[in-house]
Amino acid sequence: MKNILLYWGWDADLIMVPNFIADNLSMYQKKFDKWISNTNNNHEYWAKDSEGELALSFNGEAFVKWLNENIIENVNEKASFIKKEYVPSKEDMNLPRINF
Amino acid sequence: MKKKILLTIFLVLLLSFYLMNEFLFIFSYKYNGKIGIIDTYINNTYDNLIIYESEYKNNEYKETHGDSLISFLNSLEYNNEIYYYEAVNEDGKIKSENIIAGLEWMKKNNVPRVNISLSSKYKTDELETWIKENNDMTVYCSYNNKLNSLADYPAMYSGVIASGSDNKIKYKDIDMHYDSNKIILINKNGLKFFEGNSFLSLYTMLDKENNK
Repeated sequence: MKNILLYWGWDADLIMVPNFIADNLSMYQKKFDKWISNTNNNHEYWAKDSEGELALSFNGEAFVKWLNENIIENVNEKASFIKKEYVPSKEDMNLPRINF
Repeated sequence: MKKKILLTIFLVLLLSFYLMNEFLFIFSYKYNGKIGIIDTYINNTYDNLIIYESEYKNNEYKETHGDSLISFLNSLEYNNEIYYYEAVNEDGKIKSENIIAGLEWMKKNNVPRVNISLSSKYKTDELETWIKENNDMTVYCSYNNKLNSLADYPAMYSGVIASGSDNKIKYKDIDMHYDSNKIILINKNGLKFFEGNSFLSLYTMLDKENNK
């Protein structure tokens, strides 16, 4: 298992994921983006904007849940949070990361 | 000889074309209106800053995002007070309630235009409603610099004038879409380089106010 950073511009979530995900982070980010933005997917991250148009609203929970329900099959290797919504140090910024 | 002159002209034109596409050139101009900024942390001190600080302290970074915005404004020879509200709360977090509190503070201080160069994937109805209901204040925001434009708040809220440079962004009618977010600012002291949509948003704010 490896630590990765979900970076939200100011704060971040530190999560632990299986090696195969940490080593191919960009690919899994793209898969997640495709999944979450597909209007055929009836997930809980759809919201309405003030004009009544469909909009997305999500945080780190969405990515972790998606990994655990759609990608990671081994129950002993499920993704989990180590730290939530914290200001990452310069050192943490060197971890494999997704810039959301 | 004639060939050399033509070649030189061609190369100068080519270079100019490249520079104009690659960079946004901004010349300093005087703007004296009152402006507000809600952002993440200031480490340096400035004479023209009226600041609402939080208890949060971060000494790891010498120059912060907030500092770079003030530096940009001061390089533009902006010479009025800047109302600055610290969006980061004492726990180091940015919550929509902090931003709303910042907007309320700006309103109390009669600041008519506020820049928020922050980006979240999490939509909050309270903030969107506040901006919509308080339309005597103009809110300027920047889109996230990264290509991911799935969700980007508050830039995506209606009523917000948001600036960005990426073609993948779904811009609203009132937004500003620039060719580049690499800015060369030319003032009396020379050239300064800034990069990022945050600076575009500040530029949009001053430019729109100047052209009113």
